[in-house]
Amino acid sequence: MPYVLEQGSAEHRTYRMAGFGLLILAMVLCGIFLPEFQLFRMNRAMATAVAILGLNLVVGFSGLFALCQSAFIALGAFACGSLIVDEGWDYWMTIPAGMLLAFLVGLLLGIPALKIKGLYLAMSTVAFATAFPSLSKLEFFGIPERTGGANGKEITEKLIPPDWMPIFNEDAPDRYQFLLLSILALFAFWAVGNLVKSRPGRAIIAIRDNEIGAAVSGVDLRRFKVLNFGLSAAIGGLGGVMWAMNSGFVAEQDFTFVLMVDLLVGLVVGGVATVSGAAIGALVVVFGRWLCQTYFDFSLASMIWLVVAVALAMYVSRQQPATEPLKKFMVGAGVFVAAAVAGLALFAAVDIPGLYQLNGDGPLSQAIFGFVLIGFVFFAPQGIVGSWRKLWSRVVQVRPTIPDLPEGAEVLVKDMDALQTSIQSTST
Amino acid sequence: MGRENISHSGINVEGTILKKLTLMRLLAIVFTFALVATACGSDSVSDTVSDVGDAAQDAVSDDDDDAMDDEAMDDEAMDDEAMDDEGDGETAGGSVDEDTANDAVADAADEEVTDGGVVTTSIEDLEAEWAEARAAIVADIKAAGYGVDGDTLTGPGGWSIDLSACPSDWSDTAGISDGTIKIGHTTAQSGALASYGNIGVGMGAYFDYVNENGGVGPDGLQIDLQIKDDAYVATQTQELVAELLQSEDPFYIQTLGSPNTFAVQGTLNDNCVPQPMSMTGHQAWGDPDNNPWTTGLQLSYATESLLWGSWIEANYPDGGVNVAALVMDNDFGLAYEQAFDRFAEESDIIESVAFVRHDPAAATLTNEVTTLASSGPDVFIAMTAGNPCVLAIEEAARSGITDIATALFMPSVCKAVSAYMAPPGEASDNWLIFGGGWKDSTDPQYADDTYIAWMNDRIDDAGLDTSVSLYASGYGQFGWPAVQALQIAAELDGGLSRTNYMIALRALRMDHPALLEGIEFGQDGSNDSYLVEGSDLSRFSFADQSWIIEGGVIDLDGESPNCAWVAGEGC
Repeated sequence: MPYVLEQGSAEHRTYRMAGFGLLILAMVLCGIFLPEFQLFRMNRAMATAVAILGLNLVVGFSGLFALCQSAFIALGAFACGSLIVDEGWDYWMTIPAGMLLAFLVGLLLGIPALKIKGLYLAMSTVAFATAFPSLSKLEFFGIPERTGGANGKEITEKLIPPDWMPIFNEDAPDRYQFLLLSILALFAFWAVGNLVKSRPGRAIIAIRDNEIGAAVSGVDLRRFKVLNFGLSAAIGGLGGVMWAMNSGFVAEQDFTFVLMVDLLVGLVVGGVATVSGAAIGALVVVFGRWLCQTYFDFSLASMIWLVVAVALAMYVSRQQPATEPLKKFMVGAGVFVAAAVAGLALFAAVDIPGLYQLNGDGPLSQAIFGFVLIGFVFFAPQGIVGSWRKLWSRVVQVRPTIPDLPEGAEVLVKDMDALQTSIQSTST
Repeated sequence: MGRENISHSGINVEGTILKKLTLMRLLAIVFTFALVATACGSDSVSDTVSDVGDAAQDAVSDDDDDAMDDEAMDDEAMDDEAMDDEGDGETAGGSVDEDTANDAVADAADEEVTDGGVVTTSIEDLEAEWAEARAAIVADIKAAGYGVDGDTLTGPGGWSIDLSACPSDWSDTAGISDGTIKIGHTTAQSGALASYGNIGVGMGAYFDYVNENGGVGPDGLQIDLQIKDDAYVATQTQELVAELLQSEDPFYIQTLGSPNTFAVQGTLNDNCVPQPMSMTGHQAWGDPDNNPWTTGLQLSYATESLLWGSWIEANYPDGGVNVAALVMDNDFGLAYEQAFDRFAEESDIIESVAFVRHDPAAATLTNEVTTLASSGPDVFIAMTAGNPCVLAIEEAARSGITDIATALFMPSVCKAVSAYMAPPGEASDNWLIFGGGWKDSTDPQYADDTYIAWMNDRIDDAGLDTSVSLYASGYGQFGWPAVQALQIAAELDGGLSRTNYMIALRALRMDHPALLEGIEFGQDGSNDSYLVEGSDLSRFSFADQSWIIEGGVIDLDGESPNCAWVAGEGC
């Protein structure tokens, strides 16, 4: 039986505080207990999360297929690198500078995007994203010096903890960077979370759902679309500056279209049009790949077995009655896990070299990662966050309150209770 | 997403809106094509005589920086001439100076054609020779007293490292435990350049062979090679190296790719971890004073570019040469481009150079090569790697460059016969190469060469395909010297340790069995920090399906000054 909370009540506030508190606790525990090299990876995941957040703003919340976020990350990272090395700026000043640069370029791209829709917009932005690494090596205006050209640019000043913070070790600055970057990321997520709940946010969502309806309702389409582009680019630029702060080295080959694909996959796997989905998606993309590379380095035989296990799971789950989707999913998952573990254990026990694992000699781990992502999209089309919310709504439900009617308003609904019940049953 | 036609008060705006939308769509498509064309290749034609005002290149550069404005151009031209008149022009660091290259190419052309370097002594005799050479190096090192003295590591050629800067938890024998020595290797096993991962596979196969046949050193240490995939992304390399250092602490870490090696060079040198035989031809790895723990191995791209330039000067005495170059748009291709551009600017023989860059992942190169063909080149140089080499040969034939140009060059990395020269068929006939001196394992003329035949047999035993030359690169080019250096280090006082290994590496000088005779394989501390500085000049024969050497081998051993690389300025 779901536990119902009234939106806006004290209980609801406690519930949200508890959720937030858990998040902070998880991050603090990560910061304290994870080894340095994992924090390095975690920092990159946070930069990626911020970038996916920007992408979500324009693709998820606004419905515009702007697939050039990797170029904006690159802009932010190059701006950070160039300003610090060539102009002697401080890391903190590069954040607004990188965001501003990305914002301006995003505005420029947003203007033609007013008239291009759907597939055409996707095509043009993809072209920009693909061309960007080459653009950063063109021999004009001293660009290759600023971006490091083909060999990359080392940011000679690293982000190291100041002397008045003795708990951080100067030789291993990843922990300190984790603190800073998590503050930046939390701030970005909080800002965007507020944005989508505010009036401009609702305007953006209205543009996605029904453009003509939004225009008729008084939303200035041009302004919102262009600004949305610019804002999402600025957030991508912030992600880029965070990337440069973490890695201390910018190279054009890091920002190819492959990164764009990663961002898009993270967006979809996390949950389109959800703010927290960006963070989950980034974690999946960054750590999932590392996990698959390190631990799931299976041989071709093992992979074929896994496919067989998936097919078996799907067959068995289809036998279940369709009216109980949760049971279907659990049965399917259970069968898959059992079959996979049994089969792989058998392979490992038989000990023919190359049957079970390839121990770093095989790039098939990337294929495994691909299958995992396909699995996510297949079994959780709303993304992880979307599916999680569905499952969690069976445990806790937040019932939105009906707003107070203004003075003198006619009550057209005879039965308020019936109305409340109908609202409750449609909200998940 | 259809067309919403809004009619206002009876005026028919449908037609106008339709036209506007069509126009916008057309613009969008043109815009897209323009961007995609930029992505596919950018064209920059530089005329060496007049247009020095190009944006500065972070190429190998002397004290005279590339001019940014025309006022400085005249001064620079005069400076160049003055320096050339002095005879011994400013050396560039990382590669020989142009005069030396010119002389070497000219001398080699005068020599008789060598026998192709086929060696027929038995493998046992070869191994005995190697053991003798190793013992001689060990004796020299011991006699000279190189080693750790307090906080300083001294080595050959005036080279030394201050060990007090190493971290407090640094261990000289890190990675050696339980009879195993752990070695880390980051490479591209996925992505556009995934074929380079095969080098690591070949190297691993050789290490397996060594493990089965006594291991390394008097204790028979077993080599545990851990290969990590960074997909050629520099940030990933940083993460993987950080992970290796913090969780495995290997004996040394070998990296592939110029930006990848740059990205972790600082970390590895600060942590006093060897970064030996980096798998990139960039000249920045010959910097024994600033980055003492890093070395390269192969012929540097800068030197190869100079050799092209010198060959052109030697073979076209009348001048007026137009060069067309197909450049891979990444660190590898641009290193060639910048070094060659620098040579061409100061050359009187080369009248113009047309560079067209292509995407490393490009599936076809028709556009790029057609553009180059339109410049009517006398010399065509492919500054690319991997499958684009095959495409370059095919497209050059298709576009007519093979008929117009009198010389066509392949880069040293595309020497492999079965992978790159055989597939294009007859179009590959008569292509030239400065091959870096390596005997290609798929070249039939070396089928009887003892080492090549033995290596191919071992690769076959390991279950790998011998026609994939990158396996042989890993097995022979990189694997063999790695083990030789380890063996030498194991015999020094104190046994196998990081410091002894670095001394052995810096003093290494042996006859590499996969290199042509006459090309030295060796370093000498701070005096010579490049292992391979020579090359063959070969012409491909389609009928024989092999590279025929023209003239003698070119050996520039010890002629390349060290390169204190500064990003944006060069050496």
